[in-house]
Order: sequence, then C-alpha cells, then structure tokens
Amino acid sequence: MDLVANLALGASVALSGENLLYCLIGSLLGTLIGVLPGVGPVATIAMLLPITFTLQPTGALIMLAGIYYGAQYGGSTTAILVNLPGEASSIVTCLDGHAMARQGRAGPALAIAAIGSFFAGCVATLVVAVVSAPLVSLARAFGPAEYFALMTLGLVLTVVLARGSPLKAVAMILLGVLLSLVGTDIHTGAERLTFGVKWLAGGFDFVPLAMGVFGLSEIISNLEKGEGKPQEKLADKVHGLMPTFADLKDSAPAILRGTALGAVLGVLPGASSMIASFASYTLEKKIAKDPSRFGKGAIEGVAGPESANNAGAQTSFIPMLTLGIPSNSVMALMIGAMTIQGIVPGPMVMEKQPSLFWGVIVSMWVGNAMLVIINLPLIGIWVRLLDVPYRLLFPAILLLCSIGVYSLNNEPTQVLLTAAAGVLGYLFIKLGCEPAPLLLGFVLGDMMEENLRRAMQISRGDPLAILTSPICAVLLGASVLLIASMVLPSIARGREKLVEE
Amino acid sequence: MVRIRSPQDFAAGLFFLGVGAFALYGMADLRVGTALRMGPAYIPKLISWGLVLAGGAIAARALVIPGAGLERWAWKPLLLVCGGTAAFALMISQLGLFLASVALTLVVSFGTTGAKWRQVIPFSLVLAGAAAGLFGGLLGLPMRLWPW
Amino acid sequence: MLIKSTLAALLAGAALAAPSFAQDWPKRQVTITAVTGPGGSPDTVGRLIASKLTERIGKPVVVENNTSGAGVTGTLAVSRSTPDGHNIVILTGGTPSQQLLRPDQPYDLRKDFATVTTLCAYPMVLAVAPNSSIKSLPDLIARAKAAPGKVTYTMNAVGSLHHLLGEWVGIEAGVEMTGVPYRGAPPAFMDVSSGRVDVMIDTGTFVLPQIEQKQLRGLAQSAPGAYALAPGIPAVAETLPNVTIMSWLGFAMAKNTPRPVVDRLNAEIRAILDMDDVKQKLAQMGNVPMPSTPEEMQARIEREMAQWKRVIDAKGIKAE
Repeated sequence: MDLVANLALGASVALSGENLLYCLIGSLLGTLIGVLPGVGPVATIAMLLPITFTLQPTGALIMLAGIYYGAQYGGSTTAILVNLPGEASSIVTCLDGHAMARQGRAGPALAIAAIGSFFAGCVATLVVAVVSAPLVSLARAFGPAEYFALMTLGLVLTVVLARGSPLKAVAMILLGVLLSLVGTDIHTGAERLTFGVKWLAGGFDFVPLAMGVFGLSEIISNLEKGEGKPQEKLADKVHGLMPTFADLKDSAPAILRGTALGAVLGVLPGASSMIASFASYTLEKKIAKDPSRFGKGAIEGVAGPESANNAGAQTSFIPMLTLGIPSNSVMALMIGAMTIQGIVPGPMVMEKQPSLFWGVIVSMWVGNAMLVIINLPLIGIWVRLLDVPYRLLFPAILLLCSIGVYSLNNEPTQVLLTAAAGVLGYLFIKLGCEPAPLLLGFVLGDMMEENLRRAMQISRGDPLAILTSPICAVLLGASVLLIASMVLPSIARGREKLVEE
Repeated sequence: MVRIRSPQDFAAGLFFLGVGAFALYGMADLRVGTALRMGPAYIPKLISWGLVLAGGAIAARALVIPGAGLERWAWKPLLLVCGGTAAFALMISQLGLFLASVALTLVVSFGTTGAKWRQVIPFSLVLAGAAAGLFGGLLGLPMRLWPW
Repeated sequence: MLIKSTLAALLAGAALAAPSFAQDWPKRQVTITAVTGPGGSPDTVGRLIASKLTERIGKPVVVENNTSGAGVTGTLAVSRSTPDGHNIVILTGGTPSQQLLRPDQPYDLRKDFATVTTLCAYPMVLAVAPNSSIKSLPDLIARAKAAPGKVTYTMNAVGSLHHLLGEWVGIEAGVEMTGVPYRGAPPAFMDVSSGRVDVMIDTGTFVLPQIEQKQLRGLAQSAPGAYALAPGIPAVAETLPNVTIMSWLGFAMAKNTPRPVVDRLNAEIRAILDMDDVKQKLAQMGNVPMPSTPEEMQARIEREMAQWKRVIDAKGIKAE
C-alpha cells in the first residue's frame, strides 16, 4: 500500500541520527520558549532562520516544526502553574488548569495536558498523513462569509463558557471586540479610537493585553490576599504528581472529543485552533453531569482543550504542506525558510520531494513522543516551583512577563501597556467580571469585522449570500440554538429569583 | 428612593456604559456608512451601542436583584506591581536588561509586607543576572543588556 | 541561542582575520528594523543580508521586527536614532505611497533619512484561479467594462501597492474594479483559488511560486518588459503601455549619518548582492538584486511619489 510505503520512507528520514537530533533540539527549545511567558515561537524561529539557510532542508524544517509544537506544550505549563496564557489557545487551559494547581493538583493537570496532547498529536499526525486532501477542500470551502459565521459561533461559545452572569460576559466580549477594532481600518485607512496616538495605529497586541489582564491582575490579587504572610505559597500542599485512575477515566472521552474537534478545525487558517480549544471546553461543560465543577478544577476542562489545541497545531500543517499556504506566522517563517532553500512550497512538494514531505510528517510523531518523554519527568520540577514562597516567585514571574512582552517588538510601550492592562484586570476582579470572554472577543473581533465586510463586498452587497451558504447556515443556526438554550433557562431563573424576593 | 441592591454589578454596568459612551464620543467624526457599504465606524459604533445597552441593563438589574458589594482596593500591591513593570519599560531600551530587571524586582518586592532590603537587594541581583544570562546569553534575544 | 552564538563567534573570528578598513564603523551590534512580521519578504531578505553582513563586518547584525503602529513606530525610531550607522530600516516599494496617504506621519520620507542602497526588486503580478474563465489581461479589461465595479481583485490595505496598481490599471483601461482588502497574501490566495474573488494582485515573491505550482494562472506582471523569473507571463505594459512598476526593498538610516559610513555599508551590500548564492536565493523568491547609489534610491522614492500622486488624485484615494 502507498501509505505504508510513504510512512516507511518518512520513518527512514525522520529516524536518521541527524534528523532525530534536529527533532530533539527543536522540541527542547520549543518547550523552553513555550514555558517562558511572552517569548513565542515566532521570535525564536525568526532568529534561527539564517542558520537554517545552511542546514539540509529536511532537517531545518523538522527542527522548526519541533519548536512550534514544543512551544504549544510548554505554553500550557505556564498557563497551569501561574495562570499566564502565552497565546490565545491557552486561555482556556488557565481556567481549570490553574484552579487544579491551586488545589495542589498541578501534577495531574500537567500530566493530563501532556498525555492528551500526545494522544491528539499522534491521531492528528495520522490525519495529516491520510486525509490531507479532503481536509484541504474543507479549508477551500471557507470564504469570508463562512469565517464570519464560524467566529460568531466562537463568540457565542464564549458566553456559554462564562461562569458568572451571562450579561456581564456579553459586555466583556463587546469590550474585547471594541479593543480589537482600535487602530487603522484596512478597508478605508481610517484610524479608529487612536486619539491621535501614533503607536496605536497598528492596534493593540494580544500578548501585552493577556499578560496584564490575566497575569498581573492575578499577582496583585494574590498579594492582596497574602499580605502580612511572607511565607505564603501559591498552592495548597501538593498531593499526587500523576493522575489517578479516576482522573484518566474522566479525561479519556474529553481527550477523544477534543482531538476530533481540533483535528478538523485546525485545518482552517486563522484563529481556528483557538476556537477548537474553547469549543472543546464548552462541549465538556455542556455534557458534564455537574457543570458547576468547571472553573474550579475539573480535569476534563484541561484534557479536552489541550488535546484540541495540539491536534489543531498538527493539522494546521495541512494547508502549508499541500497548498503552500501558512496558517499562522510561524508557518509563514517555515515557508520563507523552504523558499530560500529552493523548495517551492505547495502541492508539488509531495511529488518532487517525497522524502522531505513524509520525513516531516513522521518527525511530528517522533517529536510528540519526545515531548512526552521530556515533559513527564519535568512535572516533578515544575510542581516544586509552586513550593517556592510566593514573595520570591512573583517577582520572577513579573520579570519573565516583562521581558517576554518587550521581546515581541523591542518596544517599551508594549510593557507599559501590560502594566495598564494589569490595572484594567484588577478592576475587572473588583467588578466581578471574568477576563476570558474579553480576550476571546479581542482575538476574534477584528477578524469578524473584516470577514463580514469582505463577504459583503464579494457578494456585491447582497446580505442573503451570507446566509444561503450551507456552512454558514449550519454555523449560524448552531449559534442561535446555543443562545436560545442559554437565554430561556436564565430568564426563567431570573423570574424565580424575582419571585423569591 | 431607589436602592442599589448589587453595588458591584451596578458599578460594572456604569463602567461598560461609560466605555461605550466614550468610544462613541471618540468616533464622532468617523463615517458610519450603510450595512451594504460599511464605513470605518459602522461596526465599532454598533459594538459601542451594544456596550451602552449591556452596561445599562447590568446597572438596571443591580437595582432589582441583590448581589455582591463593592470591595476595597489594595492600592499598595497594585501601584507597586504596575509601577515596577512600568519602571522596567522606561529603563530597558536605554539602560539595558540587567538594570531594568533589578529595578523591577526591587520595586515589586515591596508589594509584600515584611520585605527587607538586605534580602531583596541580593535577590534582585541574582534574578537580574539569571535573566540576562537566559535571554541575552542562551536565547540571544536582540536586546541591550548593559547601559554601555 | 547557544548554537547561534557559537556559530556567530566562529564567523566573527573568521571576519577578524580578514584585513579591516581603517574606519570606526561598526563599533557594536548593527540592528536592521523590518516593519513587517516575520516571514514577510522584507524580513526574509533582511535576515539573508544580515547573516552575510555579520560575516563581513565582524559585528553581529540582527533583524528586529517592529510591526507596532502599522510600521510607523519602527521607521520613526530609526529616523530619530543616533546617526552613527548602527540602526537601519528596510523601506519597501510601498513606503512612498504611504507618505502620500499619511502626510501627517511623524517623519518625512524625503527629508528624514539617509538612503543607503536599494537591495532587490520584484514585479507585482495579476493572477487568477487555474480554472477561471478570465483568459488574459485584455479579457479581464473587457469584462470589467461590461460590468463596472463587479470584477473584484485582492489587495492589502487602502493605499497599498496592490491597491494602487489595481486602480492604475483601471485608470489606464478606463474601467472600474473593486478591491477587496486582505491582511497578507495567504487568505487572499484562498479566496482567489476557490473563485470567490476574481483576480489576485500581489507581489511576485508570493505569486510566482504559486503560478509555478499551477495553483494560479498568471495574467500579467508589472515589470517594464518580459521578466526573466516569470517566463511566459506578459507584461501589463503590453496592454497598457504606461503601467510599469517594480517594487523594491532598500536600506535607510537616520539623516546626517556620516557619508563614509553610508558608503562603506553601500559597498558591503553591493558585494553581498553580487554573491552567487545570494543571487540564487533572491531568485527563488522571484527577486532580482538591485544595488544602487544612495542618490539613486532617493531619486526612486521621489519619482514613485510623483507617480502615485497621479493615481491617488485621479481616484480620490485617501485615508479617512
């Protein structure tokens, strides 16, 4: 069979000593930068690019890919331990992962994230190898109208995901969308809500906002609670490094569902692996027997989204490998590296460079295996980090955040913005507003607007065209149903509450 | 006399309402356009009106449904954490990573009670040295490490 | 990076062994600012040149990406840096039109910089999906004439080179087409290749490889005549004789940078652009090397501003 022969070819390439080494270097480096808040794979790969000019193309690509998915692994570590989402898809991991860490269950949370990611990575790699072609046609079927509908569904899911008052969650989403619209409008060139401040012309960046609203405000709030207790620690006494059998049993179905969601949505370029991770969270919360556990350390709330995220990270290679189209800036860099090596990315790579194509695919599996082997023993060390007195831990966290944010652009204003976002985040805590919907609204907002306006332009101003595409109809229909399922019971509850008064 | 039954929600409602109104004021000069040919302000104004409405609804609800009260603010950790971060921002490009890190650590460490100079100073030097080594040395990020 | 610093140290050692010029540049690390994100062509070309420059001048040359403020922040920082040749910004063929659209930006492209040299040039390309019914540029123009405003093309933000070329073609051919803005080429490509948008207008760097892979079909390219790296694609000028534009990348530093420093860097870049492997890597990206004198680069900027002013005035294009 072709597939077996191809995978064998890939294995012979990926398992060669040299390429194993590149894979290991990539995975290690990726884990390291993933753990450091704010320092993303983009900056690292960009710096390594000149070196890859001199490497074998296959080895170079294997290493860069390793950095990319290694960083995905590492990112969840920071989210779980210190509540810092380094990128959009880890926001969801913060919710229950950090809650588990505070209960002394950081070990199981980290382990289940690694196990779920490994499983998802293996399945998704197989998906990349076997069904790339049909999945690409799915990506092609998504135009501006379909993306708009998908993002609408994403925002509705965000409301469902919220713990407290849905009305407040809606307000936070709107605020997030509004923040994302600050800056130059690409359709007209108008500067919106910049108040003449030049460095705002490009809008706000995700990382400073997330670091401030999540990280800084969390630190302030912790200091507030622990004032006067210099030996106070972040977490309860640690019990158990590895998940129990019950944990595994709870997580297994979540991992399966998360993997499926992530593998499909990951193919769509843009914000899709993030939508996958919170779609998975919402799904788990919806079908759980006791949804109130979510946000308070439910292990399915870590297992599902982490699997979805990692599956998405793998399948997002599909557009790049089959069309030569990057799904994100990391892949844009990889394509740059390939082009300069004289490999034109696109459908002909599979025919002309089969050893490169299949070698990279098999190396993804190898890399995922390496990551589990690297990460499981590290859990013991990470957990011990929580034993460090908080008064020593938090300055280090703050310093890492500040350096990470600065490293994005070497732009001090970004760090100032982080501090301002910290104040905003603290205000939200005092007002009883959850920050997650704000950030998700922020990530999706400007893309939603652009896609809606683009869809209107392409349909020559016929709004019906947006509704009549079958994909749009399904996605928007699902959004309406979700809203109804949420609004109707909460209205009923509101009435009851009023009556009780 | 209307009684505010949920001061926290009432304040949150006013906050959202205020932000929405401020954004509308900030976009007063921008063209809205029509649904078929949207101008730059079409969606942002729509969102801002949404914020005003949601804020109003939250505040109105707070008059009826009882809820949490307003909490005091912990000004000291707030100022020191954000101030330390800001100090880092102001120092990093001219004075380099090491000194900016020392400044950040010194400032924020006093966000805890019982911080002592003779503990905090060596700690900040160690942390700054580690940061310079990790980011400047090992990762080789293109940033200034020293003032010279 | 350990690997990187080891490598850099080795290379620096090799460079020190070579005879050095009796000048005090460079004293320290040289920073090249790219105002696009990593992976864009200024970034990739910048890193290619930077790695060669590091070998030649014996001090590290690093590329920084600063996309904040839509590129204004990074450009402004270089224009205000100490004029000692340690801060370089990469300007592009899109920079002159930005100056026209945003006269209030905090620097003047013509006055606040010391141009060094252009690096390379590439045409813009008009392309369609392989199965598109549009056969050629004259065919495209005929369709646009028959249905004013109905033919759509992909572009970057308002006032980008993509947009101005689309409007220029419209002016010269006397037709009206609708530009649809995208953030970057990849999503634009997806919508053109699946037939939602009629034409893709983008850089040769992105489009030529896609044409080679038969994922797009080239209608025309904007070089003055036939373009060696795009065999078989007619020039736009064959149909609309006035329309020729080569986009480019170039280095600039703060004004008042001493002339010897500018000349030294210019000479180094010339030597780098003459290397066979650099030429070959640029060709992979659809680019041809285009070294120039500082005066030629300055003249190019002013010439292009005049040229775009006509398009911008004729079509009433403005940043709102």
